[in-house]
Amino acid sequence: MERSLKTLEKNLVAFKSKNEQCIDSEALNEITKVIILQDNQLRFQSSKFFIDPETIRFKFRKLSREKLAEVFVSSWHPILELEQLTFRGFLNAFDYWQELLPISERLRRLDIGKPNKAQDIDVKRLNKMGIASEEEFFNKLERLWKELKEKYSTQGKIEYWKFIFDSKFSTTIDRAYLLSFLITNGYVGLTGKGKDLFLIPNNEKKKQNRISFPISISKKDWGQWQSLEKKVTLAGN
Amino acid sequence: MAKSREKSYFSGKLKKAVRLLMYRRSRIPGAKEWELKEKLGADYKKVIAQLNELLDDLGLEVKEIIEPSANHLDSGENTRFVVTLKDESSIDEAKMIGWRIDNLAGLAITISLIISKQGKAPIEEVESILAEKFGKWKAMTLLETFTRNAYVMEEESGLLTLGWRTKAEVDLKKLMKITAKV
Repeated sequence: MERSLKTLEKNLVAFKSKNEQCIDSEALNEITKVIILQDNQLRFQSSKFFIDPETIRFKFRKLSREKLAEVFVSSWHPILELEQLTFRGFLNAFDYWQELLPISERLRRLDIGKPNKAQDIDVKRLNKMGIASEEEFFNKLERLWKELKEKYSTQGKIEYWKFIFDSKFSTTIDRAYLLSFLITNGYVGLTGKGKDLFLIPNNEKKKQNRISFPISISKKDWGQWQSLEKKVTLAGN
Repeated sequence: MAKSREKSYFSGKLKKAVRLLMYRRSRIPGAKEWELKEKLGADYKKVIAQLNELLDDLGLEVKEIIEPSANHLDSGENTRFVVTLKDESSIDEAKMIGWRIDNLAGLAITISLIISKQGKAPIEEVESILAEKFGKWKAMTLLETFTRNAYVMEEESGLLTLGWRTKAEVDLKKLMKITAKV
């Protein structure tokens, strides 16, 4: 704007005819309109505490998590709310406990043998075991997604049960759990019905409504898969 | 004398107001305006004002919020009263009440970005900015948590907007002011 005004000012003396001066006035009028629009925009932005999204991005990149948390906390007034057991909640809990088998029965069904004596375990050890670490969970997710994509690129759509199966029951459950996370969030597509379920990995997160698709896995199912795998291996040999 | 009579007149109502406002009875905490009118009477605002005086010593206050509702024709239908922390808190206090640094930092990013985008931001964009700070998977879980707790709302068009909880709990002008300064 400043440069345009200076140009007009510089050339004003050279404009002799009425026509030239009219064009000059017209240009000045247009510049004024732009300034008015800029002024309106600035007023609007300042009233809304507007910050350019790119500036926000830049700031967030350089700020530490602690500093960001500090920024939020200083403008945050959390709601006070006391949880309570409502009548409906009580009925739900009652139904749940009525249907729940005694712990001895549940442990017998799980077939985990005689339990070890209870002992303390510290966070360091839990981290080491990959139980308390979030990083480890996310790394596992990344690895599983990568594994599925690699298999898909060579084999095409992959059978759900075949993919989650592992010779250890606990690892099978672990894989099923991680996979459910990927499916729910659109990183993996699930097709088919009943026991015939197939996985199709997406290269990027697919836009979709979060899906919830419960699949039950029992030790019996896993046993059947194990014997089937053995048969396939023997036939292969 | 008149003052003490007024005090005793309100004390029963004050107790009622505390129960209505603090105990969570539905998905959204607090009490609706018509509930307060019904249980505390037409002078419920006086009761709230008196309750505010008491809560002030504890660093709390009763706040009026507009609850999202499909029916905006009924005036007062979607006005809700909640109790919030009045004073500015610190990270240590937030940790003490069970919050994690990552969640607080994630909220700062998410809310500021939505505001900077005039109230609506594509989910992918917010997720990618969060991912720069926390990694892809963590970003995903953070957004899920924020949506579940009504800090943000996911529209069918794939845009994120501010949820009722953000409007009730966060001083948006202050947040943007501080964000601009840091």
